[in-house]
Amino acid sequence: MAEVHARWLVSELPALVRDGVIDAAAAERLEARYAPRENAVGRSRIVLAIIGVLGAVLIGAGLILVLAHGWDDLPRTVRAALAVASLLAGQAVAAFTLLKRRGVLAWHEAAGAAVVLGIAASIALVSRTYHVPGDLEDYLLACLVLAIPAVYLLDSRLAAALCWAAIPFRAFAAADDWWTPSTVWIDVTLLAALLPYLAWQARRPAREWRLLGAVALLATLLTGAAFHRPMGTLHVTWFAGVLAAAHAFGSLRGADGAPQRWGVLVRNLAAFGLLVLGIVCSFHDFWERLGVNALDREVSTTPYGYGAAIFAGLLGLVALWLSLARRAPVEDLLADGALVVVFGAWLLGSAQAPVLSFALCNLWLAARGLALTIRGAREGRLALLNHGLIVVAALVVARFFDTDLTFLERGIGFIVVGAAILALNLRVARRAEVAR
Amino acid sequence: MKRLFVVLCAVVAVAQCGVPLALIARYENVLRTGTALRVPLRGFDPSDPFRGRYVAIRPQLAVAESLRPVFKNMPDDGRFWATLRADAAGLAQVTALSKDRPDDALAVEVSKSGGWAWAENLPETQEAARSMSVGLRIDRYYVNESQAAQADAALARATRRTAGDAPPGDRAFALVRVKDNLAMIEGITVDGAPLETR
Repeated sequence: MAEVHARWLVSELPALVRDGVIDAAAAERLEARYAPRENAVGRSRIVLAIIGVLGAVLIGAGLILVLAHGWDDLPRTVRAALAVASLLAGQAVAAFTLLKRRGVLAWHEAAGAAVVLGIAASIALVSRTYHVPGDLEDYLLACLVLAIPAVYLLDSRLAAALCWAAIPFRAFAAADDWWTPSTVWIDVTLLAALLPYLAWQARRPAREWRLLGAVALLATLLTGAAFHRPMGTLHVTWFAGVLAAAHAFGSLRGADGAPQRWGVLVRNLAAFGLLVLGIVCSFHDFWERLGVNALDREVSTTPYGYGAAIFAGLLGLVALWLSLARRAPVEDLLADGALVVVFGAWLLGSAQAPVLSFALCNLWLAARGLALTIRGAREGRLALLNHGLIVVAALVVARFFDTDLTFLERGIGFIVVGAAILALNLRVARRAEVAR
Repeated sequence: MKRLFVVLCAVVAVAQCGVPLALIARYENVLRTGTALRVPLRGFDPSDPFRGRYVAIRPQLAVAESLRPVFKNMPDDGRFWATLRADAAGLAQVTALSKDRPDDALAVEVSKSGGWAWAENLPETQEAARSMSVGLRIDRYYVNESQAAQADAALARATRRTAGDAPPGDRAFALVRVKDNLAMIEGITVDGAPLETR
């Protein structure tokens, strides 16, 4: 049976059981017959495509580098012709794919990568041949503007990943350039231009694009890390908004009520990011410095910085709305509402009340850790329990670095928290064994 | 729908090819038929991860005292236009300044170059004119990897003031072609020889 049909059959099974067409045992047998085969074929197909494309990309990049080594010895017209040829080669692969290999995963990915790299090589070689002025951020912007439409037309996840990877590079290059005004709005626009592509991928099985979702999340966070200059102290809201949105989207359930496979990876990444953000925000010094320098820093915050903060704010509010709409458990609500907490702490810090910011962030993290722990212990879910305990333990460790306690007091504190973690784990593990 | 997709693909492909081709056509036109000028410069040697090693340069032109009132009216941190002419030795001279593009093919975009990092190395004669100079919109000259270190050293020697040497500004020049309000660098000479041979 063709893979697409097998996938359809497996997806239909819950509805067939519900409507009484087949019983649960028959559904299980059918799933065992078709699902594993589908997974194995799909996975090997993707691995084959990735390895093939990576090989082609490495060979192409290597050829360009070898050529570039003696580039200036070639006549100018030859250099110009080679610059255009590198792009035409990529476009030829793309044309062949769309005309003769449409729908074949490996060809789409290879064509996307070839066009994106062809554009990058072509612009770089023209710039070099004619000594075109312009910094790295200008070069990457030109490449991205030409490459992003190809992502959609060729439906290439590798091309999308390359574009996403280039955006933080551009943002950091621009952030280092103190002589020019901030161009945060360009980075935000580039990120926004690729977001619909991620949404479009939802039509595919999760395993085929969850990695792209992780790349997109990582690129968005890294891009935000470069916004420290224009965003000033509002910088912290970027991470809160993006991570909350990733956590909320990753927590969405499928039509059958089960967690989506792509969501688990994105949700776990976001949860880790929120823990790091929470720990950073839980330090008193972090908010005290903000309070002391608030006025100076606010002056340095540009309208673009406020624009980026509004973008993050919207993401954070969407996350909160999604969480409330699905009546999320309290530990999820605390993660999805990260922006409200962090922005609230920022307002308190700006109002010269860093102690309140410090207290709010600590309460937030402690509440999330405890909520996760209690839920994990109550439902006998070891992963959830350990997640909660890690949050609590990280908070405790951070506080021991933050205060003037003696070594003895810190040591006893660590022992108590460590013993509690072991005891809770043992209890849940035993309960799970009894239940089995 | 299929026709729209084909049209979209064609438009994107043409745009992707069009950008490098248009750049090549424009730059070739200037380099082949533009007016040749020599512009004093300074430089150092950074690298670009995608485009390779280059000498970062700043071709600078002193503005004549007679243009001081006009120069003062030009933006301090923005771009404006300088009309260039070659003197008898081929050296570029600023003959006019304006905020709007003048109807002259040899007018190019410039900015004030008072804050340039090497300003402290300028000789006394140019020190006074430091706030009276303009920089062309040329900031890099790509060199082969194997030549980058020597090129950097040669340019540093030529632009650093040492006893007995000719003052900086008289030894290193950018060979620039100007046409249709675009200035393109064609080469660099140090003491009359191409930078690549130094």
